[in-house]
Amino acid sequence: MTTPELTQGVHEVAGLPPQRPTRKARRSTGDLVRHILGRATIYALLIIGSLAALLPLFWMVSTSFKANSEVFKIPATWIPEQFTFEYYAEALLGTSPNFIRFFFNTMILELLIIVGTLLTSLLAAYAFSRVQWRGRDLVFGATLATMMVPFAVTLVPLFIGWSKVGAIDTFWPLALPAWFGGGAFNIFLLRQFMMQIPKDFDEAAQMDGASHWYILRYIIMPMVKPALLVVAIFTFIGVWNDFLGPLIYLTSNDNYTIALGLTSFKQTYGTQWNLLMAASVATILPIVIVLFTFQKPIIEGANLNPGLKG
Amino acid sequence: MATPAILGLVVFFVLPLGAAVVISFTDWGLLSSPEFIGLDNYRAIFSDPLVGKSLGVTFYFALLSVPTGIIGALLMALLLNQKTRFNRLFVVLFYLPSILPVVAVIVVWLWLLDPSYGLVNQGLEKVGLPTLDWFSDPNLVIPSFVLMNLWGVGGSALIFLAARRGISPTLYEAASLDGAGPWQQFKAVTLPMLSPVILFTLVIGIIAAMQTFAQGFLIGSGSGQSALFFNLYLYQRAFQGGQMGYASALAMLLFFITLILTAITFRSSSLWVFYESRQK
Repeated sequence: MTTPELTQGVHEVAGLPPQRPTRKARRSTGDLVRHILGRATIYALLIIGSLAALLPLFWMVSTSFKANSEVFKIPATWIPEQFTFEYYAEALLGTSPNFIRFFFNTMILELLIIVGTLLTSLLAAYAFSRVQWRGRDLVFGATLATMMVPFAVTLVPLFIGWSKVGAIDTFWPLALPAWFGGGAFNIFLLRQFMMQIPKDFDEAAQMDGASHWYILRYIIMPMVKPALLVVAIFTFIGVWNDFLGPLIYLTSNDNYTIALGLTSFKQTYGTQWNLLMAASVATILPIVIVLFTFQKPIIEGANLNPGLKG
Repeated sequence: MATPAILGLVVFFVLPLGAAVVISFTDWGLLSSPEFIGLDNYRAIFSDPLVGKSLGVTFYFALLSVPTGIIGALLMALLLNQKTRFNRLFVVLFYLPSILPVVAVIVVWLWLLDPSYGLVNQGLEKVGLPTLDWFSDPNLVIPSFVLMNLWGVGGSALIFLAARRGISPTLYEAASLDGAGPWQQFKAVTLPMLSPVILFTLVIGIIAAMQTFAQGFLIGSGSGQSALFFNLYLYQRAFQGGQMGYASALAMLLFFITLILTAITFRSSSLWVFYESRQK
């Protein structure tokens, strides 16, 4: 994996100039034309791809501002002839379905789940990477195995369990599990990060009599902050988008989250696309904002695929 | 320190897994008490036409969506790997659809693919192509889901992109010195070096596709049983029919099928996955 740096190093040691692809060498007019055509194709494809990604969203936003009479116009107008905010007001400020309520429900869940996930996945990752104990690898293996088992398998027993303790239509079934490990993937991700920190740090601290809690809090935690941010962001997105959990456990409309609430909009508004699109825009907007604000950690975090590299 | 995680593993995974096996041997409508019926649920599965139907729908979707998704993501990654201006912006834009909430994605695609007023059909009409009924056509509902799925492959594309950037340039230099053109370099360097990540994406993709639910739940009703995904049928049996025992048996079947598919994929990997470390 370190081959590029290695070659670079060898070249420096040997007093050679750093190796670079020979760009300037033998460039005939034919090569130049081919080069320009190649670049043009690449940019054209990138632009086509971006349009494919954005057009549905543009269409969504455009529809959300259209008056009823314009929504079903053929040929469709890209830019609304007349912008109206009426449907945003109706969709977002109405009481049935109650978007604001859905929003607050979701935010409460976000808070409960993100805090629980960060805390307990950090603890678990520490225990899996820097503490020796019997059965550690077995437990870690079992934790990873949970990712391979279809959710449907544990769905029925969990639902029965939660209904026996009277927790259906509360946030407990959605939030509490986050306080017990915070998900295999997050544990895995943080553990990978911690494995890269040299053990010397802990050993030195342990010599001085530091406890595991102290080492975690003052040595490890500051170093894995970037990974914690990644976990927090992806947990935010995951909770925001979760559909099945709320669908199973939340039964009254007042407890709905945004993702689930959008289905009430669909049932209530049917094919009133401007209203539906207004609600959809409001639903995806926080995710879009999060993505553009945290581009770097998100793009880097999305690369961290479990296991198979290296 | 691992106590919360171990507790969570036991309470929210191991115990429910065990309970699911036990429940699958019972006849249990939530309000009544469970009654042990041995293998009856499993016998019933084999004579239930909707099990075959829903498995067929799910396999069909997986068979179309997993390969197209991987190829789409791979092409995207190779494109994003080119050194261009605004590279980060393109990466973000390609990635965006993959992290949007599935319900919102479905709602906007319902509108895009609306038979009479949808943008896609209007576009087809404009260039003189026949329009399609998409989600309302029982034969097209799954291909429509596949199209929608393709819109969201940016997540896998980023995994491929990271792997592609991890390939040592010296390999390409060596290939180029041997006179390999771009296509040969792709075949001899890129593809083998990416194959472990392709395997990973394939396994995750199969597991995810076998669990498709929301699409069928939100759109399927208009097209009869042609979008009856296995998990949707399981959900209907458990939460609308209240048959917890039968639903658990269905879940066991899904688990078993997923395990077999994963095993087959891993088995096949020795034929096509290239591990650098083994060669040395």
